[in-house]
Amino acid sequence: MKSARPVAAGIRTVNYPDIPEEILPNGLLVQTIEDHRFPIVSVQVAFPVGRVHNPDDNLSLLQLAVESVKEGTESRDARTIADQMDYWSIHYSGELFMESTLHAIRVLEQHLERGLEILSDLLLNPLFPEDELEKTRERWSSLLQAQRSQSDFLANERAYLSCFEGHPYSKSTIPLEHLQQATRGRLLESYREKYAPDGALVLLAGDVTHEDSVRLARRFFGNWKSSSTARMEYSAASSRPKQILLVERPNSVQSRVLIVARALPVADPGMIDLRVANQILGGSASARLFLKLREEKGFTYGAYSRLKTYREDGLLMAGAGVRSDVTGQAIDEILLEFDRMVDGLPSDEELSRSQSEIIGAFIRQMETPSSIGALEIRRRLGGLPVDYYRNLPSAVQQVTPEMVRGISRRVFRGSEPVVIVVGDRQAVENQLKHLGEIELFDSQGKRLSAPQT
Amino acid sequence: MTSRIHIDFTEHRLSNGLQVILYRDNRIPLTHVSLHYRVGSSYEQRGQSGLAHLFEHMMFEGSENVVKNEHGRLLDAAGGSWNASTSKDRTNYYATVPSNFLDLALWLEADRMRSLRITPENFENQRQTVIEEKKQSYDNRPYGRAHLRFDELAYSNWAYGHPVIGDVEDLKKLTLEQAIAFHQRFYGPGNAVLVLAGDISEPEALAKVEEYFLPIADRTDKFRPDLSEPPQAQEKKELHADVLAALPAILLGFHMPEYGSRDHYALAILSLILTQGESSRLYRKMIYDNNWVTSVYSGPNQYKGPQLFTVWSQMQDGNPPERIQAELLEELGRIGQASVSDQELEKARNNISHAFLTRLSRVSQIGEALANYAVFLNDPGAINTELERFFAVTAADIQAAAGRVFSPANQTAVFVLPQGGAR
Repeated sequence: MKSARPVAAGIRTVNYPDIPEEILPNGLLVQTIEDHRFPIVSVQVAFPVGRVHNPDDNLSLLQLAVESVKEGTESRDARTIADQMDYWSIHYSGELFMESTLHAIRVLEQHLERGLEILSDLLLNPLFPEDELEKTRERWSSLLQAQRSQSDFLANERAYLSCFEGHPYSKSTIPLEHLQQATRGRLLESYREKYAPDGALVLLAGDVTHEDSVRLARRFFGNWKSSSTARMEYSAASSRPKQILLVERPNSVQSRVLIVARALPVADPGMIDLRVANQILGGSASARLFLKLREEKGFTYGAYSRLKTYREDGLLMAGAGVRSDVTGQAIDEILLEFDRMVDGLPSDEELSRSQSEIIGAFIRQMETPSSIGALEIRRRLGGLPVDYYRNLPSAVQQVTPEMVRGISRRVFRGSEPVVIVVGDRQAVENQLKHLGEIELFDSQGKRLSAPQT
Repeated sequence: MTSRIHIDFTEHRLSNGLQVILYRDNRIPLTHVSLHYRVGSSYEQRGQSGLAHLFEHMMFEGSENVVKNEHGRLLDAAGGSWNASTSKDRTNYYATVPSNFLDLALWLEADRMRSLRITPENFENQRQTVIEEKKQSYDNRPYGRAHLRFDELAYSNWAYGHPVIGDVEDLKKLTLEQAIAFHQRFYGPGNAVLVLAGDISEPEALAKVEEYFLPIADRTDKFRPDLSEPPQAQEKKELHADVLAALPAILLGFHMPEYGSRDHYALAILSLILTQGESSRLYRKMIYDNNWVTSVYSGPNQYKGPQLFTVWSQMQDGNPPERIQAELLEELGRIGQASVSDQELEKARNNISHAFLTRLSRVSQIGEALANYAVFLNDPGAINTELERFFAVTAADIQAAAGRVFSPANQTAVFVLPQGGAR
């Protein structure tokens, strides 16, 4: 067989499709991605309303609203909704994100009208019945407690609370008492105030024509009244000093390490450069963090970094689950890799590989109409230009080593990192002392000690 | 409705024994390359548990023409997505690449099939990585150790009883020589299925496969593990204290026939009736009506040989596990006494049709399905017939299978009780 490695010239990319759209009189935007190969249609209804829009005194309301739209309407009780959805195989999901809400169904084409009729009933006529709300409260109380046994959850919670202290982006988790204080009245009030067709979009993807999409959207969502309530505005969060945070999780046999740098808003012109930089740092199993912490040091099963981007701000989170006895060393290595991004230029091989990784992932997302739809919704709600995805492959390919270093300087020198460790306090506390003063928390989120000032 | 979808693939066998399956779909410039080896943890010898999975890691450590970690780096540089996994029955390696990089993906797989480079340093490094993987995936997670323990308790036959990740003491004792012997015995063309799915031309793709794989001599033997499981005479039960869990949980298992058997299809349909969706029997009783548990899942465990029908449920605090077990058993017992309704059966069929069609929307999923059917049923054509097998299941089939399987003596139960810090 050949010993020489086969080479190919560049990646054949694919074109982002033209997505026809129409705005209904009530402000609802209707979009369609046609693909008639399989008799399946996905319907995604997206709103520019997210966790940030929860009132400060109750962070559970919008999450409860998303969960509870399927718990009863004026014409259907919760049992009927579940019976009908399951029987017709209408796969429903509802999710609340930081700045958006998505209600989606996926149905066989032959059941599309039935699915849309039910979805519109859920969104236009929810009743949030008291008895169902009580059931949800009871169920969630246990789940909120159970998630505190997960080290990933504890690390993420601490990251958002610390990086965005006092800012709407800190509204990442639901305090148990908020859940208990949520009433049906407040739920109804919040839902009616925040969720309306103007500013929202419905995207149909799959075995459906645009003409049918618009006709069906008019029929099922056309009577939805637009809202006159102005949405809350907010700006970027203020920067924070360097923090070393230890979350005590008894009986941990590993430490969850997470180092967080403040990144960029989603529509920032430097965002493409930062995506490439993040890919070089920790975006894959060929990236620097993985090679250093797993392949060279044997500290971990895997080490990665990821970007979380929002309208006004963003985070770059680098982390790994590491042996307790090397927790301090692992943090030092990650911080050194941050410095390397700032001080040096990536090699041509690193840069071109990282560019290909991003473009390859983009091509795979273009494989199904519903995943193209997810990109389109992200573009719309993120305020990205209409040609953003059409230009993405070429924009990624135009990033130079100097641009990677420039954006790394902006991110890693623009603010102090937050170092978070979730693990066994006795095993790791001494390993963190060289980093600075340690703030200690328990797994319930309670501060046990603050750094001395 | 679903009859309009048919996967037209071709099947070939090279003279060195490599089974090749080709499926052309040129709608997007992507090709999925999947290589399944017929070896998993059930092929291991006592004292060498974890070797199959550790070996999966070693396959990324370099071969004659590829240096350590270069395999993934080259696929990444091509814009590909890749990974591998080990189960009890097989190990698979897969990559989805832009189709003009098909040669690269084939060359990389062929090079490591022919000439894996196993060094003491790499072996030691991956041994440590796997030990950390076990901590991350099991030891440091609520319920992780109970999941590992479950098969051990349920299966009398060590082949399926021991965990894929292995025992740390065994992992520490594994030698380089054992790893080299493992490669020679199992990692050859005669023990593998190669699937190419996506943007290919079939004659050209087959010519490329021959070019890269035909020169590899087959050294594998035809060893297949004895998976036979003696009938279970009495219930097995264990309490498991978990310092990381916040809520109690229960795992139930009932011995049932192998993947692809008549009972497999009947009980797979039953699992949808029991736990798929909020109108399912167990969801409604255990969660919606009574709030006894926070989650409940069920189904065959998807092993090639003797399977378990498993039920997993995380419970609300304060409910004695014995009571939850009794409630679950009552529901399972009802299936054997009275058949499921026509409406429940129709609902399950609608859901299976939907799931099948959804799976066909990506070439990677079609490729993996073809390889799985080849390995598990020795019939890649099942991709076009399996839906009919599900549709052929009657209420009487479900009732009969449930009657055979859900007996108290055939049951294994693990109760997980929170202990200590997590609460």
